[in-house]
Amino acid sequence: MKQLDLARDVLDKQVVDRDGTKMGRVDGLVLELRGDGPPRVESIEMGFVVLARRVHPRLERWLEGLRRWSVRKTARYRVPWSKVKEVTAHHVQLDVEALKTPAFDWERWLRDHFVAKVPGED
Amino acid sequence: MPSSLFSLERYWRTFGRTVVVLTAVAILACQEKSPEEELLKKVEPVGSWLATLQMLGQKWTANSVPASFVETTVSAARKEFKKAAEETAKSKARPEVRAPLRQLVSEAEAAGAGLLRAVEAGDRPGVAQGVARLGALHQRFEALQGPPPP
Amino acid sequence: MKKWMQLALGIVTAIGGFFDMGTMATSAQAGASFRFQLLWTVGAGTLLVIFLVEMSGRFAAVSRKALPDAIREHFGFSFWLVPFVVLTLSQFLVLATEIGGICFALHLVTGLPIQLFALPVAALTWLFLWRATFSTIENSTSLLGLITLAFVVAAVLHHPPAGPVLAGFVPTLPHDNPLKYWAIAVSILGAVLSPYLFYFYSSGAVEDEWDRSYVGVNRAIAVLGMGFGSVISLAAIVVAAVVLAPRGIQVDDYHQAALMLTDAFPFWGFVLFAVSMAIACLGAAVEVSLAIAYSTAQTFGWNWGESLDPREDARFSTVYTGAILLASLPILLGVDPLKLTILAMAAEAAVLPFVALPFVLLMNDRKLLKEHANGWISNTVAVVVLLLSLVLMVVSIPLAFLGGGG
Repeated sequence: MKQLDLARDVLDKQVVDRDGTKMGRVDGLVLELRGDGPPRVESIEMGFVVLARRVHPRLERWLEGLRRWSVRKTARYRVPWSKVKEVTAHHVQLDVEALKTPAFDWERWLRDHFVAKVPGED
Repeated sequence: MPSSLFSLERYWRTFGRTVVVLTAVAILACQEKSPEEELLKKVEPVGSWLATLQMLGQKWTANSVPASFVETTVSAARKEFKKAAEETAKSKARPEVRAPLRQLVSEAEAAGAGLLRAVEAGDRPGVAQGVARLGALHQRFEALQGPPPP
Repeated sequence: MKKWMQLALGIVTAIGGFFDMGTMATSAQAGASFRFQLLWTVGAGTLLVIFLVEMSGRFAAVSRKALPDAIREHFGFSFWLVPFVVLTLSQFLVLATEIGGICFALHLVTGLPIQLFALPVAALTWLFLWRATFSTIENSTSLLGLITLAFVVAAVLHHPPAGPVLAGFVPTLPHDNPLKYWAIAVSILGAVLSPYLFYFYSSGAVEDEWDRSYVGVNRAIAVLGMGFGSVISLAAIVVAAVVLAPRGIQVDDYHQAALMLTDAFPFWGFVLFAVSMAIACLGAAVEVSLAIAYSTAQTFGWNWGESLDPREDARFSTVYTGAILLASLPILLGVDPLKLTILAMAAEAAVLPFVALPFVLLMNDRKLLKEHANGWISNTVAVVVLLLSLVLMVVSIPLAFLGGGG
């Protein structure tokens, strides 16, 4: 079993999808506490709200309040650890397609409502 | 993990107070001046602008700058002259210092306006006169400021 | 062959990039108010920035990562948050300043009010970024930026007295007006040790796909590019010292600086000044907007890259679009461009310790950089920069208010 330093090697790491497209960063980790045995990494979390909690709980609540105007359906995008293909020095690769995930909600929305609307885009 | 060493609160606690203390000290140091010194310091740009307008007139005559530039620069100069006039009016300095200053600043405004009129009319001799007038005003201003400290 | 091209372009880019609204304004003020006395400030700042730029490039070439990317990854979000926020704020002020510079240059040649140009200039800058690739931007702005050599030519034509000029490179205390002297000195250091500059440089290196083999090229670019670039700034001080100071003209307004080149070039001087200002500021505006987008996108892990089509990095493109639009507001609302510049320079100086510290710490990470981690020379300079930045942080904003107005 390979050793993995979660804080150093996983947290805040660049997340990429199957094709290597940048998706975001590992903003948080969800650990499952088990009665017998050590905690298990259940999933990685991505999202502004997750970051906010790391800074200050009040900031997290304030951001949650703004979610009415958010394009994202899910504040905390959780990816189960089973979907992690590999963890290298450069990134954490997930077995997903970026475009289909909530991590790309804003990217898609901006692309469709802003970039596409700019005249001259072919 | 370095993050614990550099938290927000520590930044403000260590540096915030130092900035406030230093600013207070600096401001207090500034208050040392007498009203005369303070007024002369505040109107210092007037001399610089008089010299600017002088050079401006010369350069227009030499076809180095367009008339539009003369207009915008004279306008900027007159704003400064107005400010200086206001500072002189509300200053607590002695009348011996305030009166000649007030006189000079109003003459400066007039000289600036005169220069612009001459440039707009293409009146080269007029501009030359304006330049000379500005030069004289500049010298008078320098005299008012007093000799430089040793 | 490719490396030589990159080297040449890199040097030209660095030369063009050195001179922007900040260095232009502070140099003009320094020369007009203190003649040659402040030449040492530009010299000292340049020496330090050469090291910083070299470190930044070396880091990107060896780790294949840009600075914001690496800092968040290495130190965590909470640690990076404060530097990131203050860096973005200072970059924003610098962007507003550069836009102001382009607007002022247009105002000079047309006589129309500065505010009129705010939105058109923002649109032009944005269009440039939207359509062009990274290399097109770098190459065009850097080659056009060579027009600022007009200042060097003017300085030479004036035959300044060699003695006082050389003496100016030795740090001296001011005879009078100490507050103004130190305010300008600090301003110059803020302009030269620009945080956006060495952060942007690392992202640029990644855009250009530098690898370990570019370490030597990087060193040459840092030394020659920044070195030659500083000559333009030094020349501007000399020209102001010879043209403005003897007449008793101080630079409290950019209109006064605009006369600088008319002694050396009676016919073209005015236009050369305006064009130099416009091009230098356009190049800088483009770079700072990118710098803001780079640091934001990298912090949050978004897709980024100027050479990508905006459709592929919508969030990245939106950031620079929004930044440019917001940064045009101060000028649009009538803020005086010189006052804006002074504020931006003070902000850059104040922000320096926050952004330099994580950078220096990373430069010593042997796991990341292996044998290319900082040696004792770079580290000594780094410590000097850090100590200096702490002093600057404390004095810059108070001095800006006291030395500028008082």
